[in-house]
Amino acid sequence: MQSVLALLRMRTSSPWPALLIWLVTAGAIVALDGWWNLGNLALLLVLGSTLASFWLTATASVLASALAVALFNWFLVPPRYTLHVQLHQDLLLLATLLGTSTLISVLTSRLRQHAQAQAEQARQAERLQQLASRLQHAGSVSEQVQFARDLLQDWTGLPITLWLGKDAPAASHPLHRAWLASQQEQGAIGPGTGRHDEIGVWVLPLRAGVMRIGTLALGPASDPNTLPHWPLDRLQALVRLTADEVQRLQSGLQTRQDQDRLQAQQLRNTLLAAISHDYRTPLATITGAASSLQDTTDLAQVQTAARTILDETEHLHRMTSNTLQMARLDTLDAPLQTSWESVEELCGAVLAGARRRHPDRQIETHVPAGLPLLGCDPVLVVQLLDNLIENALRYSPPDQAVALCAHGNSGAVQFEVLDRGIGIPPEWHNKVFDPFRRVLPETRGDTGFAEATRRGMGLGLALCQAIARAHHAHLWIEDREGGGTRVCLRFHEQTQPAFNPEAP
Amino acid sequence: MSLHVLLVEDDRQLRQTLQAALQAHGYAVTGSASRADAEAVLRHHPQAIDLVILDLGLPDADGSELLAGLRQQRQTPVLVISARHDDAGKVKLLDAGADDYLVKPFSVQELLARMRVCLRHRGMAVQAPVLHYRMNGLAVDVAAHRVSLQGEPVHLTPTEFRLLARLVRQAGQVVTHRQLLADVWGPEHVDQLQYLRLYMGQLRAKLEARPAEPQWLLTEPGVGYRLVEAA
Repeated sequence: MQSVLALLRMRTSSPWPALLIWLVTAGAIVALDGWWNLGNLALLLVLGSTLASFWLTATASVLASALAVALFNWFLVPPRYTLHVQLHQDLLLLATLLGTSTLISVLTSRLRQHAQAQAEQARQAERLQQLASRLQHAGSVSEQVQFARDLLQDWTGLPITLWLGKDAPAASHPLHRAWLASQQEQGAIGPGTGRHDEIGVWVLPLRAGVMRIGTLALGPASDPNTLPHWPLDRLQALVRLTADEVQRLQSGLQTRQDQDRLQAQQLRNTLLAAISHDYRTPLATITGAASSLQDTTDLAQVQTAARTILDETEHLHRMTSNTLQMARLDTLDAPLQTSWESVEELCGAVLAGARRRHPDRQIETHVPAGLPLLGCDPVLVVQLLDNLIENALRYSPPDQAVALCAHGNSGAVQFEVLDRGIGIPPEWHNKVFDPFRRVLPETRGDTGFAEATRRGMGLGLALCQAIARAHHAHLWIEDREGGGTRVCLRFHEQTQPAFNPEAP
Repeated sequence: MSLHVLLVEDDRQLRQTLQAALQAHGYAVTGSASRADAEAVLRHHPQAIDLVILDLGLPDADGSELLAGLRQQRQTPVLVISARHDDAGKVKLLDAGADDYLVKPFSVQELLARMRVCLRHRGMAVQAPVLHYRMNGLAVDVAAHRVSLQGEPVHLTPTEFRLLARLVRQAGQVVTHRQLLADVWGPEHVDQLQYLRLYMGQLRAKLEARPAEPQWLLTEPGVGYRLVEAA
């Protein structure tokens, strides 16, 4: 049955198999004449007619059958070599033969049409599905356009041109006139559509819902006869699907952008509130110190006030650059400004800053020779380590040393900032990286550092985390054996730049 | 007559503070808030300008435009002052002929020290090029290709030596990555920052006791290197 259906789906382009079948049938009838009676030979003719109708159109098949019956009458029905029929039963036989052949021809032809339509429908469904799945997996609209163009071109064998949104062909473009004409129309235009039949190409609107989101042109064909072979409605279904998918992706992107914008807005608001709050403290201190300068002539007091102002402005400066950097990282769609940096120099820059700000503190450093270079944004990484050192100094007693170390581990580079300070409770190890979070003084137990913890706005570590993430580096906090905190920053192994060492 | 400094800074508060501080140290200071004004001063002021202190962000132009215009006509030393988050701008200015830069906020002491280096350097530039360097036990004789540390000779590779000699030529001043790469490795290598990082590492390993805290070969993050000014 399957093979019969497959046979039915074949196109009727070639009549040769039918002719061959008729010749074989005729040969068989002539050969068996005299051995079989007339009725059996007539059945042979019906078989031949049925088989031949697979390859012929309904009309051709009926005509062929009629001719065959006439020849059968001429050669085989007594009296032979006349169209005259001697017996009534033979007449009945011929009539039945003609009727049966005609009926079979018509039925076969219909069945074949049906099967072909079904096959075409299956093909179309398959096309729609293939198109939909390709378009759904596309990440961008331009990718979708590319996929749709490739597939349609493949299926129709005609060049496809697609304009989206406000895109339009230049005036010199060969399709400019066709495109212009289609803008005035609701539906498809081109050969066979009844609108602008003369333009030689089909132009269809890309319509998602009621919105026109673009225009698609099919053609011009290298052979002008190719165009009408593709049914317009089938093409329209594919074009509609393309339009829907493009529209879906576009609106999805739009929604995501809106959400991002909203989120950014919320973050900005929180940030602004926190900043303005945290700027007040140092500003108030500076104001106080400055006004006391106005009134006093005592040298010791003047020096104290000046020292206070310097410290507080330094603090303000740090907050400002953290805030700026945070804002920069937040809006950073562009890649980082990375260059090849040596670990030694990064540590050196951090140390130099820390020593200048805290000349009386003990800061240890350990950087082994021969570490790999680090592809990173040096300003950001220095700021990260700088914040970590500043935290370590702030949260540990003045007589305790803090340390900045770096070491290599199978190509990866790990920085560590260690202190003997008050430590961070384990449940806060992750939370301290959230913006505006600080370990509250009461959760720490005591301490003589209440003054220190009051300061800062909890943006420092959040910035550190943001910088680490931007570098795909890992930043985490551990308890240090023997008390205090260890903050680790680990960069993954990087392929080192090409370098030809010089002979010593 | 005291040295004449042109201070180009659009922030009135900072300009007045610096002006007062510099005047207190014996400089004659002319303040300028815009490019147009600064150019007028440079062209028409009766007393020639000995040093320009230039802020990057001006209301009517970028500091670099003023610098470019200035460099076409004269060799007056230019000291750039800038905000930190603009490394690219600083580098561009240094490459375009600025003598040094300072990051805001800075102390007046540091500004005065950098000004002295700039002025001294210009004084030397018209005399012989710097061929000898001696500071804290490090001695470099460029002409004789000799380097010694605490009296002990140090063996450097030819590239290491060229790098050190280039820094000696401008001791006390920052030399940008581009300048170093172009002068030591050649103009086609100005983007191979890794060469510089690796050779500077080797050089420090041979000269510095604690390479992460160098006493001679200082890092200017994102900009370049500076050899400490000889005493």
